[in-house]
Amino acid sequence: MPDIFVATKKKETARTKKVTVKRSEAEIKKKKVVDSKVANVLSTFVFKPKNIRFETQEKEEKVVLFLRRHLITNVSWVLLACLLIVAPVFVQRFSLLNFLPERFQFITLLSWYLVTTGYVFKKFLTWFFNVNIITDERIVDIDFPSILYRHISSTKIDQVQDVTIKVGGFIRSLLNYGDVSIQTAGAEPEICFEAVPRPEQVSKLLDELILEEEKEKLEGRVR
Amino acid sequence: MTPEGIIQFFTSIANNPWILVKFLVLIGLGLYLAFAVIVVRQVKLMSRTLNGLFDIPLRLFSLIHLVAAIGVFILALTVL
Repeated sequence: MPDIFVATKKKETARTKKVTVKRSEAEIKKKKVVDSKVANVLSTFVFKPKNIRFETQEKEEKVVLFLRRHLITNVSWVLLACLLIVAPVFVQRFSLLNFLPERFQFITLLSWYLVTTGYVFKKFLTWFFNVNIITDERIVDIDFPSILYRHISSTKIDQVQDVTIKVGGFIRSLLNYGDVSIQTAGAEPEICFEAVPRPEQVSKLLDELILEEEKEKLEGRVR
Repeated sequence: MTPEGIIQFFTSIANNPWILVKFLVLIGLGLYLAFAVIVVRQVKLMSRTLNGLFDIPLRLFSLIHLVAAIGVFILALTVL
């Protein structure tokens, strides 16, 4: 056969290669975008969040998973807050505070809404700042049980001995959230992630990280 | 306070019991004011512990809450 086709074939191969390279670059870019996400205010499960850092985070340490209690766990206090907001309407309707002078009624109403705001804000803060973080090196549990108390516990991935997930009850099964208990060999014998979404994925990720850590140890790449 | 002063104080309360109520309301609002101050401090501390998310709006809200608590306290002091 004449050589003319050989040249054309070469050209085509180069073009195909270029297209393939371009496509794979785009795929990597796309994958990066999918992998790392920006956590928003109400995020409860974010894989590789871009915009989250914590106080004791080291320079090279990367956050792999960011967890908070499931949104549904806030329903009880949100309902109570709604009741507190509408309560003065009923109080006024049934004239329950009419025995008070008008100026006292006015201050009572203002104080009521002020305390309600404080209650809502405190509850939101408690939910918002009670977070669990899994990095490529550690597991961090940040707890603010009350407005005056702070408890931060962390353990290295290689100290994790056992991971147990607990999903029980109708709502938890329906919305797929539960507790993840992590037994450790460190000073803190157990770290518990309470009411976190997708507990089986959390457990799977922890298993993968433990394997990765063991591999790093064997290869002598420990940080 | 002299014994006469104490007697006068209790007589004024007996004549106008709302003074006692005002006193109790002010104590309650004063305690709430202390809580609002603690909230501002804690939000600062919490934001430092976990930063990157919603820091400024939370700090702003805690300050607004504190200003509102001060406002209600001053209003109670003047209106009641």
